[in-house]
Amino acid sequence: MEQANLPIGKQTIDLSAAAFWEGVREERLLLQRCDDCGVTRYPPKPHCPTCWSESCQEVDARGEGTVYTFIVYERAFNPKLKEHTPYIAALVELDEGPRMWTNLVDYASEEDVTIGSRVRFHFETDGEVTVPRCRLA
Amino acid sequence: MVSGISGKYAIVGIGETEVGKLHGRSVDTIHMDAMKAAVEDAGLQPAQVDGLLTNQPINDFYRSYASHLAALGGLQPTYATDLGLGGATPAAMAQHAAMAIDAGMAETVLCVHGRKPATGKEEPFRASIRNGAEDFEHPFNVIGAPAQHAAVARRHMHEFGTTSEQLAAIAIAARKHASLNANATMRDLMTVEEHQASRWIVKPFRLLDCCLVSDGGGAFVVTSAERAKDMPQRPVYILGMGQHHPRNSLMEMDPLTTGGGAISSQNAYRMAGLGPEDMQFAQFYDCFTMTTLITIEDYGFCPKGDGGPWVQGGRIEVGGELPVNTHGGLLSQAHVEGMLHVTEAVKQLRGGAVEPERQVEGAEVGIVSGHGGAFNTHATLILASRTS
Repeated sequence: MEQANLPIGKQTIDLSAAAFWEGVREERLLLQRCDDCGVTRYPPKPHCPTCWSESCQEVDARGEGTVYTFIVYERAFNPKLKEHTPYIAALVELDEGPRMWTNLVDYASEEDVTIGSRVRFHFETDGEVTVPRCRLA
Repeated sequence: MVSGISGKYAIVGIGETEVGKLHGRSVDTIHMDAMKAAVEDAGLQPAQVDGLLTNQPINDFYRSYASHLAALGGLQPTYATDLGLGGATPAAMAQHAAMAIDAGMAETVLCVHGRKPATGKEEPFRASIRNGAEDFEHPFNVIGAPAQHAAVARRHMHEFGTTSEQLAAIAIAARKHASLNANATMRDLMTVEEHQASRWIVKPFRLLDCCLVSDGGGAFVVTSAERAKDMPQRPVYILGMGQHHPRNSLMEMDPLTTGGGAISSQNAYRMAGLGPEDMQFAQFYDCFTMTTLITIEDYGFCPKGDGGPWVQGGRIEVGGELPVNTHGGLLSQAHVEGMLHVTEAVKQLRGGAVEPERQVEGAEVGIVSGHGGAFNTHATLILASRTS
């Protein structure tokens, strides 16, 4: 577990997301794989969007993926981020298939980040909330 | 093959408020102002309105805003609801109005939207609207309106080589039209250099790629083509309707570079028995420059990926092959969540209702898009000054 430099944003946990965020606190990136049709999904949901089954397995993602797209925040949309721009939000395609939003941190130069960049996940906390974030692999 | 409902219903009255910063005017008042203007334009009395369609408010929780607004206006509709499709709502309102009248549930449906985000602090904060994916976005500081569209834009640039200068052409065209529109916020002509020099917001979007934040409202009245004959304004007929809502977040969007517009527009074209080649103008929901570009592609005006070069060279300006957002759009006129895209289409088709320099000559058929969230919801309307 690492200390977050980039502030962590607002966390709201509803019923169907409790297990995911608990996993994050244990430094696990949990996905759901449907027992009936085999599709792996993220974000967590009680039903499989493909076949509507409620039966699924927890899958530990390996924590590696590829940048599918990304944005660079130059303007802070929250006052507490003012000192932290520019920062990157990336839509990462995990090797297991699903895509997730996350922050790509500790990059030397923006030019090093491209669609297709390989990334590796780690976990960061601000003392209250833990999130999965990634770095260039 | 023209569907049974095509050409049977018409927009017979429109209203638009001033736009920009409406100090001292409440959201309710802005709605009432727009409603009054539309009902008057239609030559009707309020008591003749028996249907009401509103948006879901963006910063309030009403069980039924339509019920609240009806009471404010002394209306007792036999058909009313809030539609919640984000920016696709105004176009969808025309569809629902036509369907309600067709079903015999009402005869005269008033469709209205108003908002007050520019001077929003004058009213108490009650709620902020959410799409549904925020719990997996906010912890990562994925916040603010431009984020999702910027992510789509970068993907489009990657897949097709679209450039920021090409996006500038869209901003410049909108600004040109706004400069000719007395009821527009940003009226100074824009150059490519100015667009390229405008500050980064969320890369790859610059300030001039992003829509305005505006107070303002608009409304329109729908009734049957039969009744429309006896009304003061030239009727504008609803020929084609479509919707498509393919996803609710970028995490579940594949591909990222096509929105709901492809299927929504195909359905509208089919209903109308027309194609993109028949459209003489387009009022495209333009929350960001890239949104307009993707809509142009999805609506069949050019192949997917060719939008960048296609919008250059004046093609989308009045006088060009497909004038887009002849009022200046969300980018330069005002952001009234697409309502003014519908009323502007009506004005163009009536003829003589806008400044001559931005009137599409001989306009008889036009298309309107509405788009909500981050390419989540989509609605299409084909309107015409003729019944088919």
